[in-house]
Amino acid sequence: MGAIDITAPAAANQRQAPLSMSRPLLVLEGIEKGFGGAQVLHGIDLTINDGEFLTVLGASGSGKTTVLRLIGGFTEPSAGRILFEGADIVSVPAYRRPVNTVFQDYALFPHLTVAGNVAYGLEARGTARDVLRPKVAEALERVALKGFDARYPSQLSGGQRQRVALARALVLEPRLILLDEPLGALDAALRRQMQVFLKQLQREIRTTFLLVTHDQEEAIVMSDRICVLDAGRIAQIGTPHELYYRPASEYIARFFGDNNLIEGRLGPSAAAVRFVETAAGRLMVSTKDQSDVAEAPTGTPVKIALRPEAIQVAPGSEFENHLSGTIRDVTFAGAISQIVIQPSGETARPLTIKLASRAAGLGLSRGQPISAGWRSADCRILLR
Amino acid sequence: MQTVKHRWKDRLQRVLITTLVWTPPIGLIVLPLAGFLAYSFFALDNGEIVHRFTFGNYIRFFSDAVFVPQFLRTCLLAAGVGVITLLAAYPVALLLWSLEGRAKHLMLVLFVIPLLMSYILKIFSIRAILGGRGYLNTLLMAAGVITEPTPFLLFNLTAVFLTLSIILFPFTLLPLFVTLERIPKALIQASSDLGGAGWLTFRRVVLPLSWPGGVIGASFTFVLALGDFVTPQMVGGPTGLTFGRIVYSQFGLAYNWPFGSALAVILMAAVLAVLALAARIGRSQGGPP
Repeated sequence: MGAIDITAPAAANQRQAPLSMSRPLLVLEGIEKGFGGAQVLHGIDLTINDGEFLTVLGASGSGKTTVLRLIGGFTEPSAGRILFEGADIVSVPAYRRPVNTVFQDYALFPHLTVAGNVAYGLEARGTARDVLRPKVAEALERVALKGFDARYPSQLSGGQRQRVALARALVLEPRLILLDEPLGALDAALRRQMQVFLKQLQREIRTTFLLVTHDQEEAIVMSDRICVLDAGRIAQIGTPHELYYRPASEYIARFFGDNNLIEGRLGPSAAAVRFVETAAGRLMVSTKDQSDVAEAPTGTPVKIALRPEAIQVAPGSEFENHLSGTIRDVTFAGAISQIVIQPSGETARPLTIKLASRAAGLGLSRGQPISAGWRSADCRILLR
Repeated sequence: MQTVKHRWKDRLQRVLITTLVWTPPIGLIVLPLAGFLAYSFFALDNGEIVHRFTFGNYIRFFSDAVFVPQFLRTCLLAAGVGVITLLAAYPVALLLWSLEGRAKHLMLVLFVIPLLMSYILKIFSIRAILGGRGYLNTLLMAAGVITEPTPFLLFNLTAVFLTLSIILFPFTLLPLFVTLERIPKALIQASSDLGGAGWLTFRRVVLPLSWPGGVIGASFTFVLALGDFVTPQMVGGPTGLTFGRIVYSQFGLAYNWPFGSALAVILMAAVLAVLALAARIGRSQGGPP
């Protein structure tokens, strides 16, 4: 494969609010789905807004692909409604839905050329040849495959096939494009390139993208919003920022950001904070936006989610939480160094800290005593 | 020293395996065929085979007014059988393909079970259907289409055509079905997703991708029909003469092995030509070589 420029300018990485964010395009309402006795989806309520990049994230078996297949029209819900701009499309067959899918493994037609594949949907609509040709050419140019018209899928690399599949959907100018683990078969470097490319493309053509993936990094990089599925239920919906900084449950906290999870019991509360009694001592946690935590009874078992990069070594007095311990391990990983410390409390679990390697290079070594601290606002109480 | 020994052992082993693999096909297929090829260049003198090289048998085939038209008529018959089984196999294969699980396997077995039955049994069953007092005549009379049994159903070329089509049907069906099964379901979904309703998906995706399997199946059937002499013998009667019967008669009745061999060689050349053509069609589909 030639060196094709699919890297986006730096601007593509800046997060900006999508256009007309508030207008719902597709709404899933109380969707239930079972396959021969096994319940795959439980009461899914999900709104996809016009112009946004929404990712359905989940482990395998979470039901994420089923959500996509329901919207594409390849399977029917056992109960619930699928509203497209207010109209129920459950009984509309796939070939008449205003959505197009980029399939996992691409599902390119092996007997048609690249141009034939891209033209397929237009031909199915009876588009005239003289209209069709420039559209196909434009779609191929958009995915940086200009000049590949006459090739067959078997003559393309994985990344190129992926872009043909994308062009095949794009050329129909659908309101919603469904992407089923589109980057799963690509190697890591190409995957990162494609993440940026897809995100940039989505902004350019202002089309709603629904991506299904199991890769949280991919979800964070590309999405405006992420819907996390856990065993057929929605665990949390929010922006990548929200999921990262305000996880709603232990499941989300584990999924995003390698959070430290500190077990404890709720103690007394004060203005916008709550104390938690842990093996490492009494810790202070902010309860901002968490009225349920503020009101929960004292003694309730909880976990504190604490992101590794929020912990400061040798902290100053502005950090409400302090603890001392010994360094168990130091791992250098390029720009970031990871330090595992053992707090001095008898039953306290080790904590992982991530520091910029520049800051960590202060001669930290195994067995050395250390003090660490973090702000009450940088950690979060999880009731479930 | 040791490596040299090893290499020697390896080579011996390779020679041994190669010999074992190639002996049966060469001994059982290539040599007998070569024998027939050699015989086709011999002559017959007073019922004795004369081992003297001659093109006489081939000259006789092309100069005699009987053989070439008969050969072409048999080719046409076999091609007709191939085409009609292909046309019949498509709906059946599509039906099988659309079924799921147990129903699919049951139906497949039903269609393929004739392959397990004795040839003679199948032919007599068909004679019971096509015969003067057979089911078909009885049915047609009961329906008032005809007043007395029609003789056109049995002991002529039509009967040969019908019988071969029925008996050889599974040979066309199976390769076609297997090819359909190999089409990824995602392609069908992709077509549907891109706006292709049922008929378009069939025409633009299913047909082009399954066509090679159908062609291969139909050419199997063609080849089997071309050389067959049992069916024409059993249901063909005096007018249902085919090339296979003529070849058979040269060996079994006239005891003219050289001429029979020449006819068999010509038959085989036709078969190889058709198989080569089918392979080409099969390869031309599904993108570049």
